[in-house]
Amino acid sequence: MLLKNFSQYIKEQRQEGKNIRVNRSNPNEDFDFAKYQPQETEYAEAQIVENNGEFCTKKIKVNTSQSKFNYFLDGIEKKRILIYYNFIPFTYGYMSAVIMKRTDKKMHSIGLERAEENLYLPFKFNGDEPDFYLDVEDFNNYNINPINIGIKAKGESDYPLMPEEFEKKAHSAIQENRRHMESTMANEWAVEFKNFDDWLYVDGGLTNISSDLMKKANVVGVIKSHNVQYFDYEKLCQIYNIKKGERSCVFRPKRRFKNTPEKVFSWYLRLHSDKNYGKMDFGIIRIEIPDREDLLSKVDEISSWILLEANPIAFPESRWDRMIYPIKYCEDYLKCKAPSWTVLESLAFG
Amino acid sequence: MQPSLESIEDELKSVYDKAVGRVIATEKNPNTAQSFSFWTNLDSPVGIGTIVKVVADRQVFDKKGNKVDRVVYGIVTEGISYTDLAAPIHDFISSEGNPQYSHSAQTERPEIRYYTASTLKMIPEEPIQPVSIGSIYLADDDDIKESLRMDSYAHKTGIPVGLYTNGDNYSPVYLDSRFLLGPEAAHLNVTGVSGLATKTSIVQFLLTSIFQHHKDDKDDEGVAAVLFNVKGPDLLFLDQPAVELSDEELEMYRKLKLKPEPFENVEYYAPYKADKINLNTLRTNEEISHNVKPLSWNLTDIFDYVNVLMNKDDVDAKADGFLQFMKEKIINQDKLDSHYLLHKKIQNFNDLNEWFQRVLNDTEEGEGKSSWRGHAIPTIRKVHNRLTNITYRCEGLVGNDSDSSDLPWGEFKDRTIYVIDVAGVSPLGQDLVFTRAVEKLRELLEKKALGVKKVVVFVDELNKYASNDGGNSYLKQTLLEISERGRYLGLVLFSAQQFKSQVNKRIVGNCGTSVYGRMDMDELSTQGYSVMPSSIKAELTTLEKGKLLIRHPHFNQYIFVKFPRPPIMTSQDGIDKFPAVPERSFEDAMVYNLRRLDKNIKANDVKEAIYDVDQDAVRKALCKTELNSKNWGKQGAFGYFKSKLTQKAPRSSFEESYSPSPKRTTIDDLLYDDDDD
Repeated sequence: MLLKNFSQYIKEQRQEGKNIRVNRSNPNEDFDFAKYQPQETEYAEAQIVENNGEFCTKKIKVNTSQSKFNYFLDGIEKKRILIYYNFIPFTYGYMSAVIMKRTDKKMHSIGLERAEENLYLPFKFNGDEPDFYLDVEDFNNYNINPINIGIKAKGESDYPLMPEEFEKKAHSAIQENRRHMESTMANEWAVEFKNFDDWLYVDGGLTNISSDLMKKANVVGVIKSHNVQYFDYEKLCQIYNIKKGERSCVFRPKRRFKNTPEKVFSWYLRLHSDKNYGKMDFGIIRIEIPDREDLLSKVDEISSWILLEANPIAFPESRWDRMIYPIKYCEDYLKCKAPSWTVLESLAFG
Repeated sequence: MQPSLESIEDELKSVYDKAVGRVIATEKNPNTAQSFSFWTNLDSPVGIGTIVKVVADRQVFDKKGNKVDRVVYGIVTEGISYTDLAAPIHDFISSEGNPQYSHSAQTERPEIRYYTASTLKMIPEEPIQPVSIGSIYLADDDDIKESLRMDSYAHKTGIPVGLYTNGDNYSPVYLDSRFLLGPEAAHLNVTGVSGLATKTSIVQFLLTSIFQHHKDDKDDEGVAAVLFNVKGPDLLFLDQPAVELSDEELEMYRKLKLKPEPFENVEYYAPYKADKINLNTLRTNEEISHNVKPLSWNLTDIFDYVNVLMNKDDVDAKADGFLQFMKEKIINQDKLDSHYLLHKKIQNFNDLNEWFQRVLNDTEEGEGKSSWRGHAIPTIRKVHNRLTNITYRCEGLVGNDSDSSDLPWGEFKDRTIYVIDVAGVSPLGQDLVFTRAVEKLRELLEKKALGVKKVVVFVDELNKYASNDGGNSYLKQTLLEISERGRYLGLVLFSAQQFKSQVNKRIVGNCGTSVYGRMDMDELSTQGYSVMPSSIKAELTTLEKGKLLIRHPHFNQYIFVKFPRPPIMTSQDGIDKFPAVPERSFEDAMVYNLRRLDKNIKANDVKEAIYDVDQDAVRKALCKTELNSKNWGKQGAFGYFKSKLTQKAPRSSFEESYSPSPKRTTIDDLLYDDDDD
């Protein structure tokens, strides 16, 4: 519906002689799933909560044959610049998330899924925005409710002005929307499905998970990219040198821009061996759990479950070394349901 | 209040309760009007050969402008299954090269069952469009009727051929008798490997079905069948009930609305052995001899078919001309013409031999004669030679005298099977029997004088009699003639063979209905099966007993059906229950033959009656008795037989009949030898 309305908008703007340029670049170029984008490294602190505060690594003994994770949460996002209005990119964003259950080794939907599509534009809101920013009323007439990306982030003095800035802003907004969707869903899961024995595996950190859920539920977050460094070079070397099935000690992360440590315990674990090839962080994941004592005692057990989840392998997913198969399944499920660019293009441009 | 997820799920479940799959189409693998693809769950009872119904998601307008469901029926022809595994190496790595480790996988990869189906029927039938996206349902009885277009004929001209099975669901499948027995199309061909009793069984079952379900038209005089038994006791117990049919088989009969009963009216015909007293058949047990009759022909019976017994080198133009001359002027001519040296009517081989002697003597009298009545002497000698040795080549079947015992031409009865047992006859004799019987049927059907309107002729091992090699035998021509013209006459060919590829293409091509049992891959790889989907071929190589693949003009795809064992005793059971009796002496054979006609005849009476009577005279009397059953009157078979026995030869005295044994050398001979001299 959004794109049908948008199609009408474009038509009328063109009739009025506005400078509209349709983005005819390779359709797959911008419209892809959660592409890996290198981000700047952020340095943070870590409070070691094991081994009397001394950094260490240890081998995990897998004493069970069955992982206790039975719910899995993942989300995807897609984005594409549809048109340039003068030089302002109109970014279309699609995001969806799902929690799937595993019963008797089989993954299945439990009806807990969300999908959303938005248009990301800079428009006038406070009155001090640049003149070329758009008026939101123009869109309301077409029943379009765009998301405003013409905003200053903390520490920024100026509004974004250049197309690249708008793109970055749109990208961040889409990611934020997706994270929000995932956290909302985790809360719904807690209300509707959670039993005492249920364990939720979240693809990503637990930052956005509600404090209430953190207090009560068995939630484990797994981070696959390591843009935040919590340790110095020496300890980092030890982390990168852990072998398959080994973990680091548990620590409480603390971001430097925050005053208090995060309410999670975390540790590193290697799922797959790199056998002297590939990148340093091959197979290394960082795990987060709510900072509860009952869970702290289960760190080895949780690690062993995650190690078990490495079978079956998540091939041919590009990040298979750090992704477990049920998360790949959730991603495939969401991708299958997401609209293709061909469909979107036909809706937007008839 | 928002409905709970569980209630939504329940609602969906009730709506799509019966749906077993969904039609899918991609750009690379699109649906067409002829075929479509769909997926199912792993536990769905869909497989190769399953008939499915597609109900399209979107309704269409019919001719009256009403919105109706668009329904497509299809039969599954291909099926594949795969997981999301991109390459085998991924599973190897995942399991760390240890097969045991695969069992410890925490999550099962999703597995899809992806099928391709060929369209059987679309509703509405026009416009012809590609199959739409929709839900897949298993076809029920009504759907089966509709999809195979049986709804238009099942109740009128339907002949049950078996049951389409899907899990516990059994749906009858009908052939259209107008396309099986004519006149629209006709003939049936069965192919399958030997040893599974499929070929014979389906023919027996189908004949049961035809006899019980074929409905006569107003002027229809019924249907009969002529079966040639070419192997052991294969077709010799058609009138005996099956030893034991299982409950499942009886249920199948009930579903097909057939009575599991053997054929009521069967007549067996077998030639004599070389001794001319014992029948050349395995059905010699006295308990079941009442409907066994001799098949014995004389010169006039077979003269029209002598070409069958001669090879190509024999029948050149000259010989053919002479044979034609004999047919027109010599054989069985009432008018005795001395110009042709006809001093008596030539009715049998003895007469013919005498005639030939006269002709040859005549040619020898006039020196320098090179021809007789325009025919070259060497040709006459050749034909003489070939004709007079027929009785040796077909000993027991063709006799020298005028006696003849034959099928009841002109008096064929409705729903009766005539089995001609040629299993023990030489290949040449078999050719003669086939050709004459079939030609006779054709001739009488053409004249509408057979007694029935339609006759099914069953020929097993068709590749032997109508092979696709260059040979052009008289019999092959006859079979070709039936396959091409038979449906108009009511002469229907049911044939079977192990290798269809080895049968003349025109003959099998004219068969409206084809049946396939289990087959070899070698045979399936031949050109004739190129249109058959590979999965169907694979299925055929492992086909279970009692299951068949059918092609019929009404079905535009191959259909698998299951049929119960025929309600007829198997040949093995038959032989165990009614073992063949070893060759009988002349006296015992006569007792047996007369008791075939009347069980109450006493053995001693027969022996007394034929005592010291010339054996040929006894045979003649028996032959006359068999042929003239209508004239037996009050005296019965035995009385008639006795009346036809020629006068007994006077009893010879001991002296007359005694011939001393060759002189033996005794010790006295040796001792007194010299004295005698």
